[in-house]
Amino acid sequence: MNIRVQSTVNPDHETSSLFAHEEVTKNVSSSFEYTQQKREIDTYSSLSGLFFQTPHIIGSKVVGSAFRGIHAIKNQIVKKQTADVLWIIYNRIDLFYNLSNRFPTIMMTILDDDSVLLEWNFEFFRIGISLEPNASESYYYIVSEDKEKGAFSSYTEKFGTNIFRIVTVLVDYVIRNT
Amino acid sequence: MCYPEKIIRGIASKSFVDSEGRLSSEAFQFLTNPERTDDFEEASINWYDNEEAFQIAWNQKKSLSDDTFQFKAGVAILSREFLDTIIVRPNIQKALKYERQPIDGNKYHGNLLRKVGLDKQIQRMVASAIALSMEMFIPRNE
Repeated sequence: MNIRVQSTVNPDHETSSLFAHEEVTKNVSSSFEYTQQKREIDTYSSLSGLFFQTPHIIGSKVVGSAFRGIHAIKNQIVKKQTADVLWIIYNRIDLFYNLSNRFPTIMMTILDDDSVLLEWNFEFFRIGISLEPNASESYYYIVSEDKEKGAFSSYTEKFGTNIFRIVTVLVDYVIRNT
Repeated sequence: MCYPEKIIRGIASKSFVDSEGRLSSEAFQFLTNPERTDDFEEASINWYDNEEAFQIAWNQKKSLSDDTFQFKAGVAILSREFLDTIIVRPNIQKALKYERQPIDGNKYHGNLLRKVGLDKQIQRMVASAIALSMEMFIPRNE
């Protein structure tokens, strides 16, 4: 059952960055989409209040598709983690750097064990973020290829309590390496 | 055993393909074969020995009674050389290998093999590494 709850964030507290980046995303979703979808998204994410009244995440090339799929996540803990991670990426890529159109779309897969896998795939490396029903088990991985050296490297680690910081570092890694 | 440089992997669903034509790691799901006795799971491939190997994968139908294509999304070509660099990684070593396994009507058939009982975190990383080995994706435009 879908439960829609209005965000409790005071509209007077909108961040000025939203308006600074209005131009970036002005062609995205309509006000209809905003009222139908944004309310659900605000409900899912504890971070989304920072961007109250922005409909633009739904139209983001990088995270928009995954965001539109959030409603299908049944586990509420996974749903909230997914929304938070997508908000962090949206904040960094779309609002802070205005680079959304340079990067591929994040693929979201809801798995049989109720976890969610977010995959961000580039030519020479791939980032995976797995969000688990037990949030302390959530993790990420990077696999990469060095074409010149014919080498492969991989790394995986649980987020622990550092999910905000680590996802921000992952996004900066993407920006530096593309 | 002699292996060619390239591997063919059929892709059943377009949901496994992203906006840039790259594959989700979910395109490399391993299945248990009860006939195996070596604690490995299988992901079916064709060895790209020649053009016939590709055509068999490309034209494979779902079953005798279902005339639709098995690989509706298309076919991916993987680099065996790159897979070899993955296999020797310390955190993946002994967890991934490959084999030839000819079957009726397809002498090019083989398997990627993943050790049973791997931690889920490593399983997904391995699947993503295999996806990174993709050199080309040929979509089926139908």
